[in-house]
Amino acid sequence: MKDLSSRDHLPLRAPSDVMRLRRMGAAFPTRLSFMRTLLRALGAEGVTVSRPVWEIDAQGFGHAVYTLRFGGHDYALVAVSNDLPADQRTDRVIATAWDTAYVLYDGIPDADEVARIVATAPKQEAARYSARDLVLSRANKSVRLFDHVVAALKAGRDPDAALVRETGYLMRTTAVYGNGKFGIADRAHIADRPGMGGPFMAEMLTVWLIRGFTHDLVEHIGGTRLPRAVKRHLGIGNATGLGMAPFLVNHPLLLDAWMQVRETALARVRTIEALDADQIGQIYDLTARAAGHLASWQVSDPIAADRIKTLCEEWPRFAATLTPEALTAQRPLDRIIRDSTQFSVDTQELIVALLLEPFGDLIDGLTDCMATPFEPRIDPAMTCADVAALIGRDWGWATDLDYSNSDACARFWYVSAAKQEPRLGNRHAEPGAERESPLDIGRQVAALAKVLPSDATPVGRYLATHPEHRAAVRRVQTLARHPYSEIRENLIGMDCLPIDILRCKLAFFGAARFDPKSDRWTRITLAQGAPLFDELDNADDWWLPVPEL
Amino acid sequence: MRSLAEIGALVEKAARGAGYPHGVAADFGTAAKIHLGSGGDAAAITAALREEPTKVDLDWQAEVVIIHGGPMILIGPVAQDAFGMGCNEIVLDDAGHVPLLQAYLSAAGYGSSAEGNMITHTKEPAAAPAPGPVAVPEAHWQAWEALAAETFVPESAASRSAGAGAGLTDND
Repeated sequence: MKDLSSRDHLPLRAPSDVMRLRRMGAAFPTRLSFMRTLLRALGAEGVTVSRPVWEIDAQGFGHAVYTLRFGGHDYALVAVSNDLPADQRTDRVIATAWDTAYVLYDGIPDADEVARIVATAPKQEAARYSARDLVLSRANKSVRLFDHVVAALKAGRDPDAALVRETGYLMRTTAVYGNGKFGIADRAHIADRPGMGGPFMAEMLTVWLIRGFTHDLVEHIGGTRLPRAVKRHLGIGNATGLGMAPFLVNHPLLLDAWMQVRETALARVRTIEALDADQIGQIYDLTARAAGHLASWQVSDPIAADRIKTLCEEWPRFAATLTPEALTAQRPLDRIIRDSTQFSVDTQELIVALLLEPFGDLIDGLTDCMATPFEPRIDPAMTCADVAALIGRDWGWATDLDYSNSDACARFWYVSAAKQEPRLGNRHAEPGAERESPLDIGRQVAALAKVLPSDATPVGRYLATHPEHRAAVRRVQTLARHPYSEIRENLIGMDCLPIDILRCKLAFFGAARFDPKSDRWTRITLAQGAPLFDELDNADDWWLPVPEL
Repeated sequence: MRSLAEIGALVEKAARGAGYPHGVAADFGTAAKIHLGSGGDAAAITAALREEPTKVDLDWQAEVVIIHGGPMILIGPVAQDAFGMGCNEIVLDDAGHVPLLQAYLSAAGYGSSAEGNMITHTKEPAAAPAPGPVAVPEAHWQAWEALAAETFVPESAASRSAGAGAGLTDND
């Protein structure tokens, strides 16, 4: 976290507010998001992408290899496209076959290595991989748009702009595995490499390359090129379920780092004394762009649709507050943030993302602090009384609840025996709660609070005879040192919406167009409006893009 | 070959499946990565997982902790905490626990040396394990998988259709 405290700035927003799930679930992508960071790095280095292998038949089946050199290392995406029967096309973890499969490879694979990946990648979790394989992924077609685009190209027409706008991608990834899964390389192999040290950089690189492959694939089958504006608007979709939620709960230091960086960036921006004309112009342009984005963001989920409706109603009111007088006042952005409390949480968070956008020079360096090699540690010498005091100070949101109330413990998180798919159950109506995953952090700390002696015993001695509270003590001490490390919500409560956890993480990836399909499953679009392979010299101005179709 | 991340994740689940609290199971997963990444023997991990999760019998002395008995997966965190509270020596009842215990101490950042059943805190920091992958004999891996499976909820039609909040086909 080398850059976080190097400048004077206003205080950060309070964790007690920022870390509530409703606000986390209103997050938008920012210029600090991982895909943006990656593409800036690729652009700064002048990376070029080549396609040395294209063994794809007329129907679009076969394999291709893309290569690039980044940070002094060669990488390759091996893409495999297969004919998938419609009845097997599911985005769930329980799927066993996919339209396409991918491996990001460390180096340039020779023919034998390409053959190995072509044979194994379509099996995904059912195969084993090597430490030369860095990321494993798969994607399914958006059949309607994919077939339409191919048909249009074959007929010599441009694809229907409305359909392109409505879907926004040709394929959805349904898993992007990194860090050692199924035998691929541990993150330690690449974490020290230039460009790969940030969170999920290898995964973002994979996804961006997959997006380019989907463009090439429809052009190959359709027999002609897509208009550049259409390609740029075609991002890469993703279907995401509950598997993302445990990650944020189980990586508190990483969550803290991401949040600290975003909040520090906001605090720096709020501290700006005066804006110049260029910055004011950018804010006006971005406000209009956000309005266009909101106007084209339509979803079927009633909760999300209601939130977007409110956003659409409030955004013109917010825009009207951006008068020349307001933007030329002293510390104008701090005033905008303070005044934003009159709007919904969703509008407030969109304003935050907007205000970060023009100030890359001030905040982009913070992204170096978004990864952490550390793990939460217990301070065994702390007295039980001090641990109890921390609980009293930081955990009221958890200890004030009565977990014997059926609503307070209505849900349980679990891992299904079927391909280890993460799921959420109804504790009072479904079997399996005795095998629940330990994501009930608030309840664990509340249980500790009830029994922990408030005396001078070192907590390490207490834990020697009460190991069942070890996880809770670690969470309490971690939160004291890392104030944004904990989702301050009862994750097993009736009212908990896991979709809000998913959205927070996906926004940090850089995702937009959140399209929830339930309270625990969403589709999103990544890299929409992002530069194409040959556009990396124009790599950074694509926040909430509005299609120019 | 198995990645260290795979090993850590599976061993942690296996410890939970064996009946250990998840806080100590997490520490065991981390220690297992360091143990195997440093050339340790998978058999020690399997043996630890097969011990009954009974309480640790120990004496706290001024700068020494004497372990009279107990399972490795509970002794490991005690040893970490003992060094963290200023102890300099740990005396084990079972010298067979020494290699895994040193992995635990490495995980917490403590260097250590061992002689017989005695482990001493050293000033030299623990050496980081080599990045994976490492070879794990299949019999041990399967034993860990079997224990980890105890944390999975058996499949049912209701769970399959509703538990993930998504449908079963996506032909849109």
